[in-house]
Amino acid sequence: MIPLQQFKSKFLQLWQIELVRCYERDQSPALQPPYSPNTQQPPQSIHVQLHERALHFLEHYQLYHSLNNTIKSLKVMVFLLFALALVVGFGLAKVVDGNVSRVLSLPWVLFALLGVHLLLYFIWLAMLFIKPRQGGFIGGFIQQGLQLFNRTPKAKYALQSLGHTLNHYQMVKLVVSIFSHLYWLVLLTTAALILGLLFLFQSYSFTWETTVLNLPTMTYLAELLGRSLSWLGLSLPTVEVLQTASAEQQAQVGRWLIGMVLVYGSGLRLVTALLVAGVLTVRSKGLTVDHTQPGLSHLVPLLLRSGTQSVDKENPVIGYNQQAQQPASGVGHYWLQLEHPEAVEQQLTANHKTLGTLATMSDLERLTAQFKTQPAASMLVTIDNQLTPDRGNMRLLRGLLPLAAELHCHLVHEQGAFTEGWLSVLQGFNSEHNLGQGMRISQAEHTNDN
Amino acid sequence: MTTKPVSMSVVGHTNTGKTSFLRTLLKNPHFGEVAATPSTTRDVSMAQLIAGTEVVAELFDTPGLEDSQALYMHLQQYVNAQNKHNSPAVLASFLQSPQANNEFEQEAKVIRQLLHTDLALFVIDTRTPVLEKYLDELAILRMAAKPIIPVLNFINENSDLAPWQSALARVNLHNSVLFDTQSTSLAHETRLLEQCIAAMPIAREPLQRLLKTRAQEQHFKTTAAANLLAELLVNVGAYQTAVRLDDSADVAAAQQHFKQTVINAENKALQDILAVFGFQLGDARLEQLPIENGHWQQHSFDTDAWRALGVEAGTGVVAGGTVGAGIDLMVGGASLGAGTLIGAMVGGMYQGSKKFSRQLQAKFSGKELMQADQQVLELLFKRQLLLIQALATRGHAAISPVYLKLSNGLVVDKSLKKLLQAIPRQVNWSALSGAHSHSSDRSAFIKKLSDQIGALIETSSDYYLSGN
Ligand SMILES: Nc1nc2c(ncn2[C@@H]2O[C@H](COP(=O)(O)OP(=O)(O)O)[C@@H](O)[C@H]2O)c(=O)[nH]1
Ligand SMILES: [Mg+2]
Repeated sequence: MIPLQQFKSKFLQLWQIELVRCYERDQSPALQPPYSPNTQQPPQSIHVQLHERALHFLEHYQLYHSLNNTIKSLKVMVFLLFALALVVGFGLAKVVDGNVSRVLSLPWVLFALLGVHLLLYFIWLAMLFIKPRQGGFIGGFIQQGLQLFNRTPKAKYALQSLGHTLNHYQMVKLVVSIFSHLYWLVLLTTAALILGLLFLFQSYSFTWETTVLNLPTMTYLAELLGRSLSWLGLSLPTVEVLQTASAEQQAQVGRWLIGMVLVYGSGLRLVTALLVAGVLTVRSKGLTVDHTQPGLSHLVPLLLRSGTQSVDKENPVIGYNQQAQQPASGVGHYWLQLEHPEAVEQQLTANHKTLGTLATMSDLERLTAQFKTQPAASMLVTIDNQLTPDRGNMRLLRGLLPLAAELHCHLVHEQGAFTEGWLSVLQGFNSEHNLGQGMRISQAEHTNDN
Repeated sequence: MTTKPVSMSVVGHTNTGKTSFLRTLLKNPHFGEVAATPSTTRDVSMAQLIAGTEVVAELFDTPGLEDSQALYMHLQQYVNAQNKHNSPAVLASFLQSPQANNEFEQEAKVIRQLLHTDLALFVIDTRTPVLEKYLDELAILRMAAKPIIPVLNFINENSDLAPWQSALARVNLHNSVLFDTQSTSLAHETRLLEQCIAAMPIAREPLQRLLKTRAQEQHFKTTAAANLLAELLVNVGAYQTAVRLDDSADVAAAQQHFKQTVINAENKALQDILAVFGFQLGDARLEQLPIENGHWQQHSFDTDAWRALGVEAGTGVVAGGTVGAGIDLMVGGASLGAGTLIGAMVGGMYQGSKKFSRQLQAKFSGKELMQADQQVLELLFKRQLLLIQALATRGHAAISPVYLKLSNGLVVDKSLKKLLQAIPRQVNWSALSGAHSHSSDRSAFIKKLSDQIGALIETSSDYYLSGN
């Protein structure tokens, strides 16, 4: 059952995740300790992450205990089931001891040994192809059964989550199948063993007996049955032979009977159980947590979110400070536009001589050449506050300081994306250079924005 | 699978929305700092794009280039006979200079990062004219000799992209992509990643895996949100409390308790839905919703709120009567019907004792049962659906409030209405009454409801408007 190991551990993970989910959905614990997901490299799948979280919170909510108890109860239940199988198997073998004469009707014994098992087996086969309407039934049944073992308040979450996990991942059928096949395997193998023991130490004789069938039919049936094990080298004496059988031939029938139970009883169950186990193993490979469920889905974005890493830390710039002095006085009022032309109110610039646009370093060089010897009394700089301030345009403004006794910065839009930014940067500029009265900041009140 | 992740630097002028771009791409509203002042981002920080367990790309957020004109002039002095055809070498010798730690410290960080990465995403604020300083910036970035993908941000219906596009074309950049940081769109992401593949064919497979993952994540969100909404509707619709009619204090208390329970449930669902889309209450700016100081108001039982969503007030509303709007009182079990009663009995027995048929218990102890009206369910449904639709496309850098098209007659179609009407009969289904049954009937119903809701989310074409 090694391939089942993988299934078991996967299933346990799902169960643990589900247990925490059920608990949280129900209790909505107000005080959730901060859980910082593991952002280690390489990144983990969402299944692994949710499971790690579940383990963390199982501990925190103290649910481990009830989980372990439930697992223990489950094991006890399985143990009891197999014990039952042993007992029933023993009983089943005793059908041959039904009468004192120890003369056994072969068809009857065969039917008694394999009849129920084969009937249930075929029902199971048929059920495979029927969609269950009330699939929760078996789950509910198991739940009720387990409740007998566990009565603590937290145990109910363990059971509830077990049932839900089985249901949600559509495994009720498979798991129940495995157990029922194993149950029958144990039962029939026990029966075969006991049968062997009985045959070993007691003598039986077998007959073909019937009340309703005629001889040819029976002969045909016997032949059919006889062939069913011939591939194993076990043959069944014909009907006529059996009527006058020797001890050796009776023994042959006994071996054949045990062979039937082992092959079409235990063997069938064993092969089926292995097949189901194979299906489970394949299934468990692709089995991951359904993270779209309420109670899990809201965790997913946070768990999957990449951590942030600071790469090139800020190291404060030391000693970079270019002081610029304003001249005490100057001649003439000038107007220039920072970076690019933008419509401004007429009266604002009425008494100003226009200097055009100040956008580049060469613009600044041109202005410096013009005003170095004879500074202006004031310079009005109109600023488009829909463009961001930056160190580049502040450098241009700084370049204007030696060129005019007063710097007047005017934001041309009543509303601009970067009004706040400009105001704070300009105020900072003012205090950095101790401009005081040498600088004025204003802003348009009614603009014709278009 | 173990190929090195593609490293991409997000570069551009200050305040063009680089950090915002990354927030939306990473679906993380808390990445970095965003503000309309220059030099908000001072460090280079890195976050990853992950497909499953594979780190596909590393994204580096850089400080803005601010003083590019001066830097561009400054860089000329590093050009000499040896490196005049090797511009990365020019940048490297600049990085060795004292100015790189001083005057141009911020720009140096960008350049240093850029020289270490595979490609550059150049974010542009398309509202701005193509100023010379931006061209200088671009010229500096081009010196690093890395593939550049221009990302056109701040786009809306009236954006004129032509000036920027032709300016980019003049320096041979014809691969610009539109990317609105205010909304997420798989189409935009796909085009962006396709350009990345074109610029870095060697990373084709991982980037395509990433694309596939992104599509799956999108689908996950729809499914998960639809599940949450379906669960909420079932929990509220099937919720019942018993009340003694002849005791008016009891009625009032029960009513209050009933409303509060429903409100709490909606609030919880809302937070979960927000979280599914990667938001928290504060990030999403749900100004239209009745949340005050983080507390959800008793809005779901308000006929005005119904009207706003085109929900008709039914007969269950007794204005000023004993029963509050939106709560249906099942007098004498009459509105239950015999079938329901039997169903409840059977259900109660199957569930095992404790919750044994509240109806019957109530009936025998002289109490009546309260249940939410269809109007309440319809309101919850419409409101949350509109919200989900808005969140589905909301960018994680969005700054405007979420806008729900409230009055715009979202019609609940017949089959959905039928599902909603079926809920109140399933009295054992509400988690609000402490039911834990994970009956397969309930799961099957929720699946059906959530599939329908999911389809509504995915097909809504004009779901979202980002404010104003
Ligand atoms: N309206 C609008 N605002 C945006 C957009 N992208 C960024 N912003 C805003 O622009 C400002 C600067 O964004 P930020 O991401 O900090 O830019 P960064 O300096 O390049 O990182 C912030 O106030 C953002 O909210 C956009 O597409 N539309
Ligand atoms: Mg930034």
